[in-house]
Amino acid sequence: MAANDARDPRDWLPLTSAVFHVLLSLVDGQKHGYLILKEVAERTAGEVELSTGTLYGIVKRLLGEGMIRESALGSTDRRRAYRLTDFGRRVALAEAERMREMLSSAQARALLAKPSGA
Amino acid sequence: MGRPERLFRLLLRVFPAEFRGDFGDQMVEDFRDQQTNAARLGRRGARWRLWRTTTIDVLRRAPHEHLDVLRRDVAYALRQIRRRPGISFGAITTLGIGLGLNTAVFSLASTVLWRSLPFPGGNRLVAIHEISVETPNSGTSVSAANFADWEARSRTLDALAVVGWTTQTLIGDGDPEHLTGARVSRGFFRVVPIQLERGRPFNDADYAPLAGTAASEIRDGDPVEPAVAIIAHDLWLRLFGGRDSAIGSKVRLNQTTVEIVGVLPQGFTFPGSEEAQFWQPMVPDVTQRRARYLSAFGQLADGTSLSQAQAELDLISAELARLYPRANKDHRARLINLRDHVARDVRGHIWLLLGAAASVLLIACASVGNILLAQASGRRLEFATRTALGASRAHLVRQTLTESLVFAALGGTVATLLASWALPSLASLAPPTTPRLSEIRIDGLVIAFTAVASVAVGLLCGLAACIAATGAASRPMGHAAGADARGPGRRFRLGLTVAQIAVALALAIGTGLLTRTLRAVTALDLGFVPTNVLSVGLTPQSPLYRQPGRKTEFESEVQARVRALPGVVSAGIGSRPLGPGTFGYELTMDGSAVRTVTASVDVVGPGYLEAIGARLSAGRFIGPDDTVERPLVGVVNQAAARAWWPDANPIGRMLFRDQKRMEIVGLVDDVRRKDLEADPSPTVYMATAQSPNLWTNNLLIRTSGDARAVLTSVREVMRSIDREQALARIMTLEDSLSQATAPRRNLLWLVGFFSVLALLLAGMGVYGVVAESVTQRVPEIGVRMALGATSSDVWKMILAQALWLVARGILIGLALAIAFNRVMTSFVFRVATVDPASYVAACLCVAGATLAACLVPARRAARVDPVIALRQE
Repeated sequence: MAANDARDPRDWLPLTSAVFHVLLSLVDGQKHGYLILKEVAERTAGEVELSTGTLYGIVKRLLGEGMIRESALGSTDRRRAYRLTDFGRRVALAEAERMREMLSSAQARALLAKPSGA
Repeated sequence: MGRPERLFRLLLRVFPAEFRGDFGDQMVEDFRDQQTNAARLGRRGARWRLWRTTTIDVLRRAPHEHLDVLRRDVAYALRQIRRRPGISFGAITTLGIGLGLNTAVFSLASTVLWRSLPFPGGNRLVAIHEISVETPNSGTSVSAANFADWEARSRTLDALAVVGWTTQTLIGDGDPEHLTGARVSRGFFRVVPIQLERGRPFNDADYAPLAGTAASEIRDGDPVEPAVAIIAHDLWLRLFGGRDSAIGSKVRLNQTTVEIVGVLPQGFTFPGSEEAQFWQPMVPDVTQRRARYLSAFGQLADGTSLSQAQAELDLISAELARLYPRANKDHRARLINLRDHVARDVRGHIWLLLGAAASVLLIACASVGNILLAQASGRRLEFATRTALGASRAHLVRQTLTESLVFAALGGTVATLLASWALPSLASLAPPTTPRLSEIRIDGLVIAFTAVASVAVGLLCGLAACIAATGAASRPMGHAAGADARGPGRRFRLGLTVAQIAVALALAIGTGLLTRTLRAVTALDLGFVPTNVLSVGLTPQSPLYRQPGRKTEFESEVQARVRALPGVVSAGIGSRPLGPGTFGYELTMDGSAVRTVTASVDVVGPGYLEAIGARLSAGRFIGPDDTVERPLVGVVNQAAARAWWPDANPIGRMLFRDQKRMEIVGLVDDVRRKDLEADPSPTVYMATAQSPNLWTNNLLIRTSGDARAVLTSVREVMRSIDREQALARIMTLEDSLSQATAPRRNLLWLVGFFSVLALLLAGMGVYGVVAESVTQRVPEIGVRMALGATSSDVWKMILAQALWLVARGILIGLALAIAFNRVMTSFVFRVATVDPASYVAACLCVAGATLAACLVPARRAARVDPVIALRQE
């Protein structure tokens, strides 16, 4: 979507935790809803458990904003798979960088210990 | 599909249909997989936890989705409004005017009829009347002795108080100033526990000097006047500049030096004493059981209802009737919520205004409904296209209703602004006796009313558009325009227009009845001539005139010197016509108690009856020779003559007052009193010179030119006779008459204004329908003209169509007016509620106005070029 490329992903920050996790789960390729739910729960060791209502509210919003799109690959009659768009990837990246900067600030102030070897 | 999936799909119905359509299947699939996973993990309660978290999540998420749908629908509606600015402006303005009228009238109604009085515990305050078997529907004042017994015996009333009235002259360095005051008994500040602006309420020390006496001017000897006063906020600002030093200051009221002990809060008024500028303590004379002249109030005890308190007072009244039969036989106390008591005189008027405003709103709704219908008809291609692309009927209905609600919301906003702007004007047109006008404002309740009314109006108007929207959606695309002319949408529009005409006619008939009523009232024979007559209130301090002959001397000097002023034709002391001032007096026909009559008595000086222009039917007026040394004389009115000597000439007849013979020397036509529309009661005019203990305190002056031109001279005369006497209640009799007719006149103005608005809206409705019809019939008109029809034939065809529309509206309007004619019973005077003249005039007015609205489209139709029309076909 060439028109979306002109948008500054920072205008969409900060993302909520749930939105970021959904985008993150699509980084490695298309997935349908249940796989997204499952992947988020496993990645966060059960700390973040999305329910279907929240998930599809997020999916609807991300579709509207052009951060994800439906993918024919992985879709069936009763399930649709979703994949990140370029814009969605840049938004996710911008959010990750924002969090990294926050982390660096916390480490610089000795609020958090730096990882060994850093 | 298994049972859990069916249940889950049922749960998903809390989401909007579009959301379910887009994601419902996926959500069901995902939930099934989650259930399978939970079952496989084998943890206890896993499926139950899944159901719980999913249900909570769905219920929390669904409102967001609905709001999102609403946001999109509102944005779409606003885009539609921007695309059609002219029509949108018309619809919003029409709704704004209709809703604004209702908002303004509702704010009046809510303040006067429903809002609690602005005192602590205002909803527990009651007025206490004494009613008699003879006049069960009108409460009277109460007697001091009865009040004292209620106060002693009642357990359901926490506090009771009586309020009396007084007028005093404030004497200072400048001109003396006439002030109205209220006098209150000990319990008043417990009944109304207000916080004073400064100072303190009355205490026992203030009442102690007055105990055992009646603080009024009619007792023999020097009356004990209160030595303290609490002044109104405005008076405090005016006399003392709002300074704290006012407390403890001394002022002179009549002959008494009075200490200011308190200042009332700004805006404080008490029902019945709205004009009081000072308040003083009073100890009612508890020996007076038959004289009923006080107003009594009470506060219900906590947890006590009005009916419980009434039941207790009924028992007390029965006991007092048994103990004091002469005074209390057939009398009992009646409680009424003070708020209702205050509003009793204007309740009917306000409900009539609410009904009239609602009628205008209905007509406005019909207009906007027609606009939305026409819009929907014009968008049939859009609706059909969207249906073809998958939009459901429910979706179209929801969006159409949202558009209508957005119109209504914008109309409601305009209404609130209009009402805020119009409130002062509405207040000025309210009946003069309307209480609490200063409290009228747009508050939370009024805004809530406007919001609810806007939603109702939006739904009502949207209903019409929904019919067109769903009808258009179901028809195939490319459907011929002509078919729309005969479709249900068109018939609905015609029906709305007929309804508008009907309601406008009903309002016009009401206006006609009120107009005839006002004419009947202004055509009443007043019995006097109000032109060029000035009424001036005198304020003599009676202790100064207690010496025998002093009163007569004072009155004679005033009358003689005022009569001698340039421009004065006649002058005399007596009560002001159309005002209070007469009092009830027991007279006997033959000196014994056998034939006792109660007459209204007016104590008048020579020249009074001439000054007011009373018509002498027989005998003579009261003259300068009717002094205390001469036999008592009286002049009666026609009502007295009919009642007491129906078949005889009253001249030379005798009445007895206080066992003294009084000869009737004159007969005058009835002079109307305070209640302009009530038939005058039997009245006796007595000579003031022969009544040394009775004061009337008004001077009526007839002038050859402008009555107010002599006022300065009259002030100088009074100043030279008694420097400490202020003039009060200065007005011409024409002003007095204007005040008396003001309630009728103001009501007519308001209802008439509503009626004109309704007629305008109905006319616009008729114009819209006929104009649309002409547009749709252009090809038909072209064919007719091509086949030989003339412009005149086209005129007749269009006007006949309009006439048929108007005729149906008028027939329904007549039926409405006849069905509701009883509503007008209490608002008309000497006019039948089915008055043919009013009905005919209203029909002609409505027919004329609505047919006039058709002239423009009819002319357009007559000018159709058949060639262009046929090309269009």
